[in-house]
Order: sequence, then C-alpha cells, then structure tokens
Amino acid sequence: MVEQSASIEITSLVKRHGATLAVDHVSLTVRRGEFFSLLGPSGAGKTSVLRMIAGFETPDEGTIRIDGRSMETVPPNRRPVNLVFQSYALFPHLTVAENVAFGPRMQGAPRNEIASRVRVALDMVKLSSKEERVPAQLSGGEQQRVALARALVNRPAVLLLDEPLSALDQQLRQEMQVELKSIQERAACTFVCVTHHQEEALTMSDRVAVMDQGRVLQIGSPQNLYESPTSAFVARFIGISNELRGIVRRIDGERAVVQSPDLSGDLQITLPIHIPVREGNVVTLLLRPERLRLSTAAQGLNGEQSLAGSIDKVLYSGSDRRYMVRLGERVVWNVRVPNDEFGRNGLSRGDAINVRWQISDAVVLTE
Amino acid sequence: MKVSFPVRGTESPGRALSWWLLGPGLLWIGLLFFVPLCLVVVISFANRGTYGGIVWSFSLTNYLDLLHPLYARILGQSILLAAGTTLLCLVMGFPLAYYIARATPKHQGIWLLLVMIPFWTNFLVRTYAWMFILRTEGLLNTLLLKLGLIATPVELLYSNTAVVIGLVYGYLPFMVLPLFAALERVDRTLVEAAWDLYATRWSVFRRVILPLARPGVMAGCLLVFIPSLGAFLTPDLLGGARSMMIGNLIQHEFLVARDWPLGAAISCVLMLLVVGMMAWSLRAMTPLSRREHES
Repeated sequence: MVEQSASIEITSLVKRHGATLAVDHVSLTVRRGEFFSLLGPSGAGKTSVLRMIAGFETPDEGTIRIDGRSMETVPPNRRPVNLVFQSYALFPHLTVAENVAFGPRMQGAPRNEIASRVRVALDMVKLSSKEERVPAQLSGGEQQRVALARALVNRPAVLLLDEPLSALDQQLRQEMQVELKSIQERAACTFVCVTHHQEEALTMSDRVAVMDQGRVLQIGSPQNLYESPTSAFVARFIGISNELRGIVRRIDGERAVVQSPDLSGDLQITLPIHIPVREGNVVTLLLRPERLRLSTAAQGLNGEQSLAGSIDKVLYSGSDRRYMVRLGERVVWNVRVPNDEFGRNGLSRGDAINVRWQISDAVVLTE
Repeated sequence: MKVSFPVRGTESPGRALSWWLLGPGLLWIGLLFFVPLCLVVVISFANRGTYGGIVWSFSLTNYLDLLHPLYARILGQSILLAAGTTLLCLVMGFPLAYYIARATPKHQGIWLLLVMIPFWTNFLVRTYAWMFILRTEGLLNTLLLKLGLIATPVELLYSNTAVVIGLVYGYLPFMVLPLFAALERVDRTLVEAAWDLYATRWSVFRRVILPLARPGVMAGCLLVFIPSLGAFLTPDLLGGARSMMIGNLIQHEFLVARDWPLGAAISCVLMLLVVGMMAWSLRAMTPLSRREHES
C-alpha cells in the first residue's frame, strides 16, 4: 500500500556542535502520510534533526533520503519539504494572502493558479476572511494558521513543524492539537513534528520517536510507548510512572523473587516471557498510576500482586483523587483512584493500605 | 469626561521644571538657528547695493536671476553629483552593513568602530589627503604607472570623479550606520523561511531583506544626499574650478561676489528642495511604519 512506503529515511545521522554530539547516530523511517513526532526534553537534538531534514544544517555523518532521493547536495529551496517555524516567521511586510502566495510565486506558478491555491489553503485553516490583514493584526492562533497555510499551499511531500503549539496558551493549544491532526488528514500530507510536550505528541501522532541527549531511545505508537516503554527514561518522560528497583535473588519458574533495598520484604514478580532474567540482575518495575488499585484487604485476587504501605499525601483533583502511598523509606508511589472509592472523604494520611496491580500491567526492565 | 486625581497637584511644578530644562535648548535654537534663518529669507528678497551691502527694498529679482541657465546647470549638476554619491554609498554600504549586522556582537563592535574611526580626524585634513592620492604625481597614479596599468598619468584631481570620490568617502558611514541598524532588526528566521519557500538568494534579498530594511535605506539615502547636495569643501578642494556645486555658488555669492541677497535666494531654493525631498521620502516610508504600529 502507498501509506506503508517510506517518506523520509534517515540513516545514522550525526551532528556535532563543538565537542558534543547534538545528534548521535539517529536512524528512523517516516512513513508516507503519517503524523510522526520527535519528542524529547530541550537539548535532545530533535530540532537539529528537523533542521537537517529542512536543509538548514548539514549533517556531519549519515544520510537523509526524502521519497527515495538523497538530500545531500540539495539546498533548502530545492527540497520537497516545508517548515513551520516555532516563531512562525511570517513576513511582516506582506499581507496574509501575500505570505501564503510566497512559495508558489517563488516556484513561478501562473498567477490565476496561485490565487486559487492560496484560497484553498486559507480555507483549509479557516482564515479566508483575513487575507488582507498583515501578520501584526492577527492573534497568535491566527498567525499559526497562516504559517500552516503558507507551508501547505506548496503541497510539500513532508511538512515539518518545530514546536508548533508552544507559543499558544493552554486552551488554544488543546484546540489546535485536534485541529492540526484534522488538517493533516485533510491535506493527506506527511507531518514531522518536534515537541517537548508529551501530551501533544501522544494525542496527535501516529508514531513517536522519543529522543534524549542526541539519541533515539524508542520509536512506536503512542500506546506502545505508554504501555511498553523500553527504558525508565521513556516511561518517566511519557506520563507519570511508579518505579521500583531491585536485585533478582531467585528464579522460580516464571516468577522471580526480587529484593529491593527500599522495601522491608521480598517481592515476587511474575516476569513476562520475553524478558530473560538471571539471578543477580538489576531490574526496574514500572507501573502507571491508573493501573494501580488500593485495597484494605491483604489478600489479592488471582493474577494480582500487592505491596503494603501507608497513605503519605492526598491530592484532590475533582473527578479523582491521587494518593501518594509510601511503600518504603525512599519509595512513594502515585495511585489514581475514582473519587468515591473510599467513601465521600476518601482515605487520609497515615491510613494503612495495600497497593495492587495486575501482573500483566507491570513493565519489567533489565539493566 | 474628566477625572481628576490627587496626583494632579504634583504636575504643575513638574511642568514648570520641564520648561526650565527646555529653556537653554530652545534659546539656542531660537537665537542661533531660527533668527538667522529668518534673516536669510528676508535678505533673499532684498537688493544688492552698488558696492556690496544690502538695500532693504522688496523685490523678486534674485529669484528671477536664478532662472538663468548657468544657475540651473550648477543646480542640476549638484543634484546629479549628490544622487550619484548616494547611489554609490548605497551600493557599497549595503553589503558592508549586512555583513556587520550578521556578525557576532563582539565583531560588530569592532567593525562599527572601524567605520567610525575616520571621524576622529578632521574632515579638511582627510580631504587634503585625497588630493595627495589623486594628483597627477600622486599615490594612485604612481602605483598604476609602476604596475604598468597605465602609460601616462590619469587626470583624476579637479574633476567630478574626484568630487564624487571625496563625497562617497566622507558620507559612507552615514549610509552604513542606519542600514546596519535596520538590517540588524531583520529576523534571521525570515530569511530561512523565504529560503524554505523556494526563494533563490536574489529573491530572498529582493523580497524579504530589502523591503524590511527600507526605513534604513531611506534614512541612509537622506543622510548622504542632503549634506552631499550642500557640500562646498569637497568640490572646492577636489573639484577645483571645473566642478562647481551649489554650495560653492552660495559661498561665492556671499564671500567673493558680495551679493548677499542672491546668495540668500540660492540658499532658500536649496532648503526648499531638501525639505521637499524629505517630505516625499517620509511619505514613501510611512506605509510600512504605519503597518508596524497598528495592532
């Protein structure tokens, strides 16, 4: 199928800034028509990757191919990609319509064709009524739409977005997340988006590459990243995560007895079959707050595991309560339960409680 | 509707103080600038006495005299030389200003200092230096002869070329500085955006950098054109008898011909010309600045 073919192929890309590796052997493939995000904290190298795809920075090593064509000697004005800048970079001396018409004009499109393409692009971002304004007369959200239209009017093979929503306020940002996704579907264009905002990446993307310190740690669908992180960094960066580190003392069939210096007793965990663990290995157990249950009963149901602890802090957040449960000297877990779980007033500080979870919900990482 | 606040009481001493602070400046401009200007205008309508001096009778003869082809030619030549100087300064100053604007802040300081260093030496001295360079047995001719590029010395001094060289040399910084200020404000990502949108290097310059730098171009052109038009020292020293500009004519009428009324009339025409050009260029600049201030 067409959707499955590669739009961008990046192989072993390296970019050095002085002695530091800004981009450290990054390889990834963006499929045609998908919404792909590069997610990571600032300084992760994601913007460098984006700028190398656009052609503003030259890779020190590695190759970038767009639609099968090597981009090595192709300058930015000849690449079949367009970039939506973080600051939008709208031309202040041109009207909205002139801004959008800039690309087609530079490509030498006929006048009447430019006019109709500009109209279509402005319709797509719902800004047709403001085409005679100059950028300074528009709100931040409108400027963002103009920047999108100015890029999409060129029908690029790939649209690159650099932190597209970071300059917008919270409410507008959530609206634009939905909007951006639907624009991408309407334009049937490959989007590559750089963001440091995990919620943004998860809601909009088909696939996400999580980056840190110049390296790609994991590539996968939002669900895949959230539910099966392959590293503690990814688990932590994508949502709140509860962790427990320990050493494998004994293997007992598919169960491992893990001793954590932070807990008083041993913990028996059932290991997923695909993770090979030996005695003496250090393992990290990861659990999402909403996968945990609180119970006063010591005995769990079949297929559940539990740890005893006490309530350390209660955070009320309307529809649910977040309990911080102290399991040991240095281990406090975050548990989210519906508001009415333990009566109107819920649990309070110091109450003894058991934390339970389904064995299959735990992610076990080995080092 | 007027609402008065208790703070208002403090306003009157403040206002009185501001008048006192303005006083010296106003007095200076009034006595040394405005009054002499009025005198020049009045004298331009008077008549010349038989042995110089001014006869205080109203007439338009001075202005009618200016219609003489000789004066028109000098005025036309002055405008041409000033325009040529401005154009050369723009062509030479733009790349320099662009380069400085894109340099690192530390290097910017050094470059700007280098642009301004000539001001540390007296303009007259620097113009004499140009005479030594341009003369028939001067530096330039000697060099060209030694290199075998020319067989006989070129006559450079005492020509319009020499005047333009001197003017460009003198006024180039007035072009570079406002251009630098305008170009430094041009957001670099706009250049990248244009490049990303398929613009060639020339289109980036023509469609983005130049329009955004327009206020600086206008300011630089005015700052070069106006003093060039009124220049008299440079054409006097480098142009000699062959190249007379309107500034030399005014000087000649006042000091040599002792025809103050005619000199005053020429001055008034020159002023009107300059004011007219400023008004025109300010209007040409407004659409952009108006857009910037709206919103």
